[in-house]
Parts: sequence; structure tokens; C-alpha cells
Amino acid sequence: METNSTTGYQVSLPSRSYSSRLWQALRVIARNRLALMGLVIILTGLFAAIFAPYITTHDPFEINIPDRLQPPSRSHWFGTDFMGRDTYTRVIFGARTAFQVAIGAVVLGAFFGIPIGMLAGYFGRWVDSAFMRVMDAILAFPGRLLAIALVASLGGGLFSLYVAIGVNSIPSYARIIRGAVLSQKEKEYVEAARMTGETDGMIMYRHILPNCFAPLLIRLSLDFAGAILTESSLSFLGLGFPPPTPSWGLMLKEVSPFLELQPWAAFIPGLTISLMILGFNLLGDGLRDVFDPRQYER
Amino acid sequence: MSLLEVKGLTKYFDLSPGWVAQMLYGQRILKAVDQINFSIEEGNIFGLVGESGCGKSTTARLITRLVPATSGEVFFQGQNILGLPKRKVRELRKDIQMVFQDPHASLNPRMRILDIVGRPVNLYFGLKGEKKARQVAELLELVGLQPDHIHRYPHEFSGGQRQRIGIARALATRPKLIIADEPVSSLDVSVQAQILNLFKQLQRELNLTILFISHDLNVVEYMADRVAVMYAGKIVETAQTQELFHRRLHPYTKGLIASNPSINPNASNEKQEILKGEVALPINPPPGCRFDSRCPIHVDKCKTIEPLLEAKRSNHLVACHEV
Amino acid sequence: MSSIHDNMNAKSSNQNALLEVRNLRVQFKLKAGILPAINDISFSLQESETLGIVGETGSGKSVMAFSILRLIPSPPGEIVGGEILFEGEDLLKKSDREMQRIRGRKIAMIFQEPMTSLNPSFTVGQQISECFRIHMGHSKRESLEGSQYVLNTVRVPSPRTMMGLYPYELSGGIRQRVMIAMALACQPKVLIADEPTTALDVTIQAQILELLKELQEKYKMALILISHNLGVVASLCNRIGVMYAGSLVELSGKTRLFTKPLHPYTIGLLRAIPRPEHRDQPLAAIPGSICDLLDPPSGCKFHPRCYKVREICKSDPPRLEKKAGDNQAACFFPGE
Repeated sequence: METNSTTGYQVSLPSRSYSSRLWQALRVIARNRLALMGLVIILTGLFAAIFAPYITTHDPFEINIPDRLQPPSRSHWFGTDFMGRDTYTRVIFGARTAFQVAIGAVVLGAFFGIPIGMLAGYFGRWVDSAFMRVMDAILAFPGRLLAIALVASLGGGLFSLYVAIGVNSIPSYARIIRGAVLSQKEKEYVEAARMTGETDGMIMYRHILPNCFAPLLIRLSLDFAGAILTESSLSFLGLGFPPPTPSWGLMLKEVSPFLELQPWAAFIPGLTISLMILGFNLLGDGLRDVFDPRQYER
Repeated sequence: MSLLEVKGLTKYFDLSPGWVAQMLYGQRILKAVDQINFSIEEGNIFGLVGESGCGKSTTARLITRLVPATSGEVFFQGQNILGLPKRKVRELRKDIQMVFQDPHASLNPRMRILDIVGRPVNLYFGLKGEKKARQVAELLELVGLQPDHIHRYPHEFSGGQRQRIGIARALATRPKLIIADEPVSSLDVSVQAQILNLFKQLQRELNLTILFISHDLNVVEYMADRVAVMYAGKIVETAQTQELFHRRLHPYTKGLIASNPSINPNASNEKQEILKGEVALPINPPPGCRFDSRCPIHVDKCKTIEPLLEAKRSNHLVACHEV
Repeated sequence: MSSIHDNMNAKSSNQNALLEVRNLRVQFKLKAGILPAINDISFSLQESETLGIVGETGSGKSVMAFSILRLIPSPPGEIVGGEILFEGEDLLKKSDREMQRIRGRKIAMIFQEPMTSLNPSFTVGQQISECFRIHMGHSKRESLEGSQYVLNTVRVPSPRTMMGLYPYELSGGIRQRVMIAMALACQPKVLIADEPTTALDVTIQAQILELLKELQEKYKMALILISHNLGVVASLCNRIGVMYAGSLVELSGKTRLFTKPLHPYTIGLLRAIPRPEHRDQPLAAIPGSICDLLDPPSGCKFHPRCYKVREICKSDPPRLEKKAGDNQAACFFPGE
């Protein structure tokens, strides 16, 4: 606290209270039951992904042929797969794989999509046309097919999966940001910012972008869901992660020939995929509320 | 030398850019501001009045260089500011600031007041941290707000208070000229009075020059020392306030003032002066006077020859053939 | 329906009143609490009378207009008390079907934003004809003729061409005329105009006000004109009511209101209007701003801003009563 010598007012600087803002954001989410459920699901998945080695009973790669295709038991909570590996462990490690890909792909998509949309929306005219035509070209391809084609041409491996899934989402970020920029660009506070001498860059990133967070984060959330689904599909088709990676999609594929013996086995990875997707969707809805500053009124 | 002198300021918008639009709709040019001239003396409040589409808001944005002009000159303290390169424009913004109409849209909803009013303080005076905060507090006090509100967000304030914040922001750079674009139009009458009082008080204390844009004649008559009336992109009449309101000459000015609903219960019913027709938008305007289609005293000449803004009385200019 | 005590045989003090609002109370259930939008309002409207309702943001004037026609969205709004007697019958007791027959036919309304109150997907002709067809059961041909006639009455240029145009092709002033035409189609007894000229330019506003005046005189309609602009209301209305924070604080004849206003809020409003004669003095602004409707002050809701507040004002809410002839005010110390 400082006392102003001329006016005698005590002026305190705002605490760089990001943590308190986070708390407030959480309180807003908590008001919405479904969003809260979504958040819980995601956090559980994240927890599983991060702490996988500590909460699992076996090594996900440990092959144990004599014990293959066992039903759930005390040592193997979800039973074993066709190679004798513990299903429970593989499901937990599958979360790690899923989150890895989702984060990588979505970050890639956003990293390119946001600046493209921002520049296109802010500068308009030929910049806009050029960028948006490229975006249209990407959108012209059916998503899964594009992913398959990219994976095929880039070879397997984590990086090519990132690219394959990420490229798909670049146009949606670009579009969202571009739309948001267009609607904010003519607002008076942007004019006011120009009047106070801010440069274009400052205006784009400090004024307009924060007001675009709402649609952006909702998209991010939904894209996570989409990324997990795409990765699962690719792995299921044999184009994603190679065996023996613990990936939910791959597990679905491995389980298919043995469904008569283990009817429940497809259920488990399928359930986790669905659950994660549901969680991200619900969280996306909750995030919409969080970013409305008016939610913070009494 | 006037503080601000506008010469031949023009802005055309091409409404049919591209050959497809041109083919479908023909060439459509919106002559939003067309060769206007006026000047503002230091320490004065200059009122710019008109209805929608007359070009007053565009004029404001041309002077502040938020919108590039098509042609013309704007002299600020003797220097033509329309010719300045971009980095010089930043310096210019220190002296010319703007207050906007909509108190809800002119403040960034995601920024605190400290940041909104503090940005110009930071950018132009290099102040940071507590020094900046103190400046902001002083500015808030100047406009009648509590200094400890600096941590709040715009949505926590009423419309009148937000407008005060906008004024504080405009004053942060210690400008010489403030352009107020309909600053009280979105406010209730009782709040409007507070803000008008604030403007007058600040103008006196800081020797500000204000370009006050409004469609409300009562407000302009009360605030301004000199007034210009705009219609369809042109200035049709300009004079000192008393002179304009009491000895109005241009038929549009007459119609405008007559249309103003009066609370004087004994006001005579000036029905004969109520203007017919729609407010003209200057899209592909015809040659001749733009007011011709609505003018009660028009003659043939008015259709083809555009009247120039000329002095018909001392310091009282009118653009009309029949006056 | 509201909790009203049955009083079907009660004779009102105004026997000939076309519309009588008695003790109307309207609430809105919000997350933050219950907002009393209209607090115990009473007034009456005679045939062919012009009543102006003036108020600022938060006064509740639009809510009141919508309440008369029971157009309040419910939830969150609810009419919780009072009676609205139209031609002797309580509108609050009527069924939805009965109300539909009254809206547009006996009591019509025009709104502030003609762009959003006209359906953008239908032509002008189609929209006006709808009134004729639905309320009066006219045939298609009769409706079209009627529409053209009524468009003529509102002085729209080339009515025949106008019939085939869509709202987006029209300017604000013309759209407002179309809306007036729609309202007049069935020659209602009461026309409620909610800020009809606020969105229009000054010269167009003058045209519309002149038109409304002419039509009111021609059709002998009762008119309730709602506005935040005292000048607008003065040009058309013989009696003016002033609303503040959900209550009627003054109800006087026009001349009386402007020359000898009773309630301090009215006095404040009149003083706040910029007048060139007082250029060198600051405007007498009303200090502060409107109270928080969810947590209003005790007693008279205006007392925190009133220049002549006394102790009693803080504890007892004043009622709207006659203070000078027929002119009413809700104040213990009316007059300047």
C-alpha cells in the first residue's frame, strides 16, 4: 500500500492473483453440475495418465502367454488380453497415450490456427483471402481420410500422428478466431485502444484475443475429444500407434478376434474412450460460462 | 491560428468493390463526408449536429485518423495531420483523444479499470506499477469516481460511471483536443446532466478544446460555443450557437430545430416546418443540393448546382441558394 | 394467474374509464433474488385520452406496458397482484384465448425497434393482412384492400408497391409507419406505444409523432405513450405519469407537470434538461443513480437522491394521492 503524497489516497496494486482467479473460475464451473462432472472425468483421466506407473499393478508390456485371455480376477482386475498382458494396466497407460496425442495434436492445431485466423481477420483483404483459401483446401478433405493419408505418407510414430490429427483442426481454430476478430474489430474499445497509441500487434494480442477465449477454449475442449477419437480410429485401423503400445483404439482392434471368449473386453476400452469424450464435451460447456465476466457478479 | 482547421475533408466508401458487385448493383459510392471545412479555436466547444448518415461520426474518425481520408487536409496546430506517417500518428494521439458513445462497448470487458486508464499513462509517460496506479487514481478522482475502484471491471459500473471512465482514459494523455462522439446519447437524462456538467467543468479547469458531436439539439445548444449542422455528408450551416439557434437560415436547420420536441407547453405548433421525406444517405448523390428532395423552398437551380458554404451574415455560413 | 380477490361487482371510482389499472404488482424471479418491477401502480385511462408515461432506465415503464397485454415472459416474470380492468372486465382473469382476441383487436401495441418487431420473412402486405384475417375474419381479398387502405392512412409513399416489400428494404421511419398501420388495422380502442420514436432520427420522429396525433384524433383512440423523453410525451399527451423504480410518483395534467411539478424527481428531471438560457450555470443534475431494485431503500425509494428528504421519507413509503386538484403525487412534501 502506498500513500499518494498529493491526493493522500492509498493505492494498492492488484495482487497478481491468478490463483484467486482460478478459484473463481472453478466456482463458476462448480455451479454447473454437468460441467463439474466433465471436469472430474478429465481430471481423473489426467491423473491416470500422469501417475500411470504408480497406480497400476503390472507392466503394460509384460507378456504372459500362459495367462492369456483370463477373466477378471484378483490379480488381474480386468482380466488379461490375448498376449497375457494385464488389461487394467493397459487401460491406464492408454490414458497416457490418449492424452499425449490429444495435447500434441490440439496444440499444433491451435499454434498455427490462431495466428492465421488472427491475421486474416484483422488485416482482411488479400491476407484474409489467401489464408482462408488454404484453410478451405484443408477442410475440403474428409477429416479421417486426410489423417490416414498424412499418416501413410509420414510414416508411423507419435510425431506423424500429431501432424495428421492436428492439421485437421487448424482450419477450425482459424475460422473461430477470424470470426471473433471480425466481430470485435469494429467495437469501440478497439478504436479506443488505437487512440491510446497501441500498435496493431498489441491490439491483436492484448485486446482482441482475450475476448476470443470463450469460443476458443470451447473448441479446444471439443477438439481434445475429437483428437482422442481420431487416434482411436486410426489405431483401430492399424494406422495409428503400432503394437505393443497401450492405446485404447489398438486394444479394441486386438480384442476383436476374441470377442466370443471375452465379450466384456471390448466394453472397457470403448467405455474409456466414450467417457473421455463425454468429459471434454461437458467441460466445454462449462468453460463457456467461465469466460463470461458477468458470471462473476453477485 | 485555430487549434484545428479542416479543409476539404472528404471520405468516399466504395460500396460495390469488385467486378461482381459492380455488375450486379452498379457503381455505388457512399460519399460519407464531402469537402467539409470548419475550424475550432482553442478553448472552445464546437458542436457538430446532424441525423444518422450525415457523416459526423465519420468526420470524428477522419480527424483522429482511425479511418483514412480520401482527400483533404486537417491542420492541427498548423500541421497537416493527414499526411503524417504512422509513428508520428502515435505522438499525435497524445494531443487528440476521443470519448466514445457507447459506454458498454468502449471499455474492454476483460480489462480492469487500472489497465484501461493506465495503458495510455504507461505508453505515453512510461509510468509503471505504483506510479501508474497513482496517476490512474488521480484521473478517476478528476472525473468524480472513487480511486479505489481501479481494480474493478467495467461491468461492475453503471452507464454513467463507465462514461466517466472513458473520459478519464481520454484525459490520461493530457490532450489538447477531445473529440466526443455522442458521449451522452446512451445515458438517461439525469445521468446525462451529470456528464455534461463534468465536461464543462473539465473544459474550464484544463482549458480543453472539445469537438462535441450529437444529434440532440438541446445538448448541443447548451454545450457548444459554435455549431455546424451536417446533412448527407456536407455542412449546411455553421455559426455561433446563439446566432444559429435564434437566426437559423438553412431550411434543414429550421426543420431540425422545429422537429425537436419541446417541453414548453406553450410552444406554438410549428407544424408547417416539419420536414417531409426520409433522411438522405449520400449514396451516389445527385448533383446539386443534397437537401433538394426534402426542401420546402427549393427551386430548379437546386437540382443541378450545388450550393457552396458562404457567409450570409457575419461569421454565419450557409450552403443554400435561396438564402 | 395472480392471487386477486374476487371483486366483480366493485364499482370503480371512474365509471367511464376504458382501462383501469389497480394496485398492479409485477415481479421477476432472478437468480439473485426477487425483483419487484412494478409496485402497486394504479391509474385509469378514459376513452380517447392520451396518457404519457415517462421514466428512465429501471423505472419499469416498459414492464407496465407489457403487463397490460400480459406479454411479460413468465418465467421469470409474474403478475402477482392487482387488477387490470378493460371495459369493466379484469384482463388478468382472462384465458389465453380471450387475451388473444383482445391483443391487436381491442388493445394494440407498437414497439421501439421496428426492425425486430416486424417479421423479416414476410412482406409488409402479408403482415398487415394477417391482422385483418385473424381478428376480423376477412377474406384474402378484403384483407389486402384493408391493408392498402390502412397504409394510405399512415401516409406511406406508394402503398401498393409497399405491400410487396420486405422490412429490410425499408427505412426506420417507414417501418414504424408500417407497424402503426398494423396496430390500427382493427381500429383498437387503446394503442400502447412503447418508445415508438426512440430509434428514429429527430426529423422522422417529428413526422411519426404528428402522425400519431392525427390518427389518435381521427380514430378517437386512447393512447398510452411511453418514453424517456419528456419532450416527446409533451407533444402528444394530455396527462403524464412519471415512474421511478417501479412506482408511479406523479400523475398530472401536462401543463401542470411542466409549470408546477409536484414530485421532487419530476422537478429534478425538468431541471436536468439542458436549456440554453442557463448556459453558464451547471445543470441541476439529480445526484447519485437509481437504487438497487433488489435491495431498495426503506420508505420512499427516491429519498437517497431527494433534495428535501426528511425523516418520515426514510421510513414510510408515500402513496400516490391527489395533491393539487386532480394532480397526484407520491410525496409527503410535494411542490418546489
